[in-house]
Amino acid sequence: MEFFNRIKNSILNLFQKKVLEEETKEEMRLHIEHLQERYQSQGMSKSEARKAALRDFGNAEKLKEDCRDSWGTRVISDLIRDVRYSFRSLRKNKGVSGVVILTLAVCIGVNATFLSALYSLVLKPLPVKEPENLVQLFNSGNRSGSRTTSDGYSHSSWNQYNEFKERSDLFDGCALRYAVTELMTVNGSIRRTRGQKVSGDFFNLMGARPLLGRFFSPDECNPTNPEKVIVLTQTAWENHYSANPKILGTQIRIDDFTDGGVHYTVIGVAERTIEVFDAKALYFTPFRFFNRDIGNPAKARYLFNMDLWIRLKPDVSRETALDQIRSMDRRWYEEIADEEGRRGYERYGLHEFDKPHSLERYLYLLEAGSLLLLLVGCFNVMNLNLNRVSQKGYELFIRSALGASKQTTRRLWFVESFSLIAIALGLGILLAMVSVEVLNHYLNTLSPSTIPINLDKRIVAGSLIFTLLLAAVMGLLPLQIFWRTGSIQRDDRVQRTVSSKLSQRLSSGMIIGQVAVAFTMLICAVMLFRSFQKVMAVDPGFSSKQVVQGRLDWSAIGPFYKKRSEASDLKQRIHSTMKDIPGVENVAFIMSGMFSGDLRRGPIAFFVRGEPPNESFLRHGNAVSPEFFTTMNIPIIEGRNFNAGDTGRAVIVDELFVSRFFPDRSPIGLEISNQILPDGEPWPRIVGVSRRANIRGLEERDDGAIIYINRPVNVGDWEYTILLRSSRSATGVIRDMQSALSEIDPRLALVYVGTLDEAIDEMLVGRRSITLLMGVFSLLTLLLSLLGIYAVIAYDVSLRRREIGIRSAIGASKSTIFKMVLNQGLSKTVVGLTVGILVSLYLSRFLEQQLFDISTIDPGIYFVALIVFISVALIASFLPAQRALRFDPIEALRAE
Amino acid sequence: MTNHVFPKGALEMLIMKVLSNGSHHGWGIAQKIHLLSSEALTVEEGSLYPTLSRMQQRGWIKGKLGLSENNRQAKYYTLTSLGKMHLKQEQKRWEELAAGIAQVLKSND
Amino acid sequence: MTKHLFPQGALELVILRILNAGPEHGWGIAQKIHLVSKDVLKVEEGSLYPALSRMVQKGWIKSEWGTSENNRRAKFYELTDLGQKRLSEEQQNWNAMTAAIAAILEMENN
Repeated sequence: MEFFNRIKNSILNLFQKKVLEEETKEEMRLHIEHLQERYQSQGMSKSEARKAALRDFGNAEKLKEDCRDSWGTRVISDLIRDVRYSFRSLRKNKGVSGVVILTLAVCIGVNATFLSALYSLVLKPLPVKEPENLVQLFNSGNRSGSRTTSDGYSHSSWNQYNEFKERSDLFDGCALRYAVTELMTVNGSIRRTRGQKVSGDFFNLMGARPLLGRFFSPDECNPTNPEKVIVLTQTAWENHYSANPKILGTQIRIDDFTDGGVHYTVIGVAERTIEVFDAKALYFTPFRFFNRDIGNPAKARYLFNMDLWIRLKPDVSRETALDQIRSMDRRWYEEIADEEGRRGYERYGLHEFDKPHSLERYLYLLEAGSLLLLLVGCFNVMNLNLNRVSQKGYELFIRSALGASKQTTRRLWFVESFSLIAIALGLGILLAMVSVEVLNHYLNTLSPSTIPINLDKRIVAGSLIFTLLLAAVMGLLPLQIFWRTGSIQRDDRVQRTVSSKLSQRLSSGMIIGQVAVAFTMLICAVMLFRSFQKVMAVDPGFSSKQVVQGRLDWSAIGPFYKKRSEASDLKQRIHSTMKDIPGVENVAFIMSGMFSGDLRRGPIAFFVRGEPPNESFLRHGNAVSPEFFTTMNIPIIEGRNFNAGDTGRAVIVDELFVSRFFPDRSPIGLEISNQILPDGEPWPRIVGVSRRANIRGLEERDDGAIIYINRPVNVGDWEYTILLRSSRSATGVIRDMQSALSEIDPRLALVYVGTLDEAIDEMLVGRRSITLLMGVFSLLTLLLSLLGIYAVIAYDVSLRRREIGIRSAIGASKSTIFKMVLNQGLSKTVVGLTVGILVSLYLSRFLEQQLFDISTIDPGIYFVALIVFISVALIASFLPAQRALRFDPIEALRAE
Repeated sequence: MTNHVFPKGALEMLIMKVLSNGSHHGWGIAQKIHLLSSEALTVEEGSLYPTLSRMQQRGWIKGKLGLSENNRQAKYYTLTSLGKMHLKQEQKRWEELAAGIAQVLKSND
Repeated sequence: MTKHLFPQGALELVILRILNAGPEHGWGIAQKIHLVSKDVLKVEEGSLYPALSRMVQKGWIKSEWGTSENNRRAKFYELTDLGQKRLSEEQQNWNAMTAAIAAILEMENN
């Protein structure tokens, strides 16, 4: 207790020193007066009494000094003096100090950034009530064996929600949520906004609380209830409604594509934490179920892409819950599902509770890179410090001979190291803050519905602790080493240093470590770069230049064109209008958009008429209009293209399909279908073979041969994509597209529109950014290694001045000496490279997932990296070698 | 019982008292004080040896080399007659002092 | 009787004890010690004020400027709760120690 009081008071007294001095003086004066009076009352004269009082009082100065000591301010003023001293000596060595500060600042900043990203995106638990018990159900598509870009995870549906929420033995409730895009009237203007539909128990399940008002009542969730209610997110309320406290009860108009525009009454505003599920959604409305798809059980159960959240009962383990869910699904499969439903189960009937974040692998990789960078940085800094100590070593030895305690020296060194590192920490945190903003910018592009990252306080605190530890090691370890094992070198009269075998071995060890790490990172970066190049070089099989793609959300229009004739009429009008846009050369209509990931009619078996069914046929299909192949410049290599008379009965397959399933015969004329058709009904017929085109994505390789069907887009289809090839610039075309469509029907809106080139670019963003970042890291480590090698060789040379001088006196030629120094650098580097080669061979296995078409053991890459490093070592040793040549042999001999 | 650290003045007095019963080497004196006080008092080497040396300077004790129990070289101290006289004085002073302090501590209840 | 200088540690204890009866200024504390010990104990100003300052830093006592009995300005000291606690602890320690010393002193000489 006294300890804390003393510290607290020491600091307080620092600010009150003047006051304290005054008070002490005053107190002393009064005391002396008292003494004086007492002597006077005993009969002494005033001056005698005064003298006696002063004598009694004793040495006033010493008294004041003792009091001052007790104030404890000396410790702090001593500390301040130490810090000033250390700053002075750091300024003297601007070069070394600067390098150390920059190195550490970058290392700390980079690590703080990626750790924050990793934590925010992957590791942080959801900000809900009791997140340990909350799980999200995924119906995994992994069984289908395709490596699709959407990872094969499908979400859930109303069907499953209804069934599972009855299981109160296992679950403490379920909730459904899914995102929609609707037309919302905000401040008088209609905009497309993201919203969320949730089941009534959603807020309760998450333990969310309303900021204003309340959440939905069970009554309000009844689909037949004509009263429409809406809950706004806090961000929406603040940004679009100026945090109006009287928002409750006001009405907002939303077009939700089923009933046209409807007015919703605001009943509440939700606290910000609930926005973790979708950072861009502005509101919540009660869940509405669309009955139209109940006819297709597979779709109904698996393909709605709704988020199903389940709260497990505390004593129910995840394994138990998963088992029960699987058996419930199995039962549905066996007892209730029809054929289509069963096929759905076969595709999606693998259930999981966890889905790795799409960026997870990248983040772990980047964090690993940051840690390695930090390691190399620390090595460098330690080495530089060892050098520093050894150069000052002589001075230190003398000082301790004269009596300066080790304690004092330690304190000074620690303060010096700490000052250095504290500056680096400050810069590093600044760097981290900037990097986090940059990352958030990228994140917005890659996955816009995620909440942005922020620099976690705990990570900053952790960096501070790390800094202290590093200062302790950096400040004290070299001293210890030299005190224990050092010996003074009498090199020449001018400069004496302290050397220690142990410290030299440590230095070499650290160089070897640095080189190994830097080498591994270089290999990794080069491999990523090469595979990126390969991806870029893939011939997509079609021409993406000058093609604009626009996706219509047919489900928005569908309800208004329920009659088949109306629907085909509309389609005709759209066709002709698109063709009429100036500058447009080709127009095509397809069902699943380009690069939309999983083609809707994913891998399903098909049958060839007259042949035994082969369930192992996997293919993707897309419905396209006849102009598709011309628009995309995909040549037909066998048979013919679709023509107007083919509707519904013609099929074109791609060459991959042929080589895989009909390697020895021509497929033209074969009749195939995805189900056994009843007798009498004509089967679709293959009329042509097209060149392979990677319409699902550049990286799709073996799986997914494609069948093109010339089938008109049906009313029930979900998407409808327009492709336009034109010679004009994209912006003009897009504008014309949109205005043409709204002229036909103002409700026609494009969900997504952009050029194909942009779409390709978007797909590559992830790969590109990580290649770039890894490249930057590896350059940094290379640079650090260069600095490190230079520092060690330079130091080594300075230690061996005498030896070198003598050698040249004896007759060694300049080139011999030069080579000798270069050898120093090379030998350490070569050892490091050997270690590096072994390590990277071992680690390359883990990189395989990231790479595209590159064998991980490509001697070309290793060879290049080796050359790079050897050059680096030579460059680093060059300057010191030059300096060694200038050592005067006579000077060296004289020092003897 | 907690260990108490010595008031400096009392240390010389206790050393002399111990030595009045026979000569001991430095460590033995510390031991004796520790034991006789039922382990209440602890003498730190940092204060013992400087004090012994001071007392030697003043001539209150005399030191001579001898063999210890485990046949090691050790310096044995004995009380001089000058020391005996000072012991009486110091003891008296201490008792007065303790009484005086006790007086203050008792009062003001 | 000769006046005795304070052994280390006893001074702080005595100050605590005196302040236990009520706040007092530095001069007053010195007087009281002198009086109550019937003149046996003398405290030097050179040790009194540094001791008071130390005790303030430790949080055992706190100080405040006020007016003394004869309308003079003076710095008054009083016990804190911590000081109160420490008083009984220190007193026990002191008693134990003096008892231990007395035990040795009363040893019979052979």
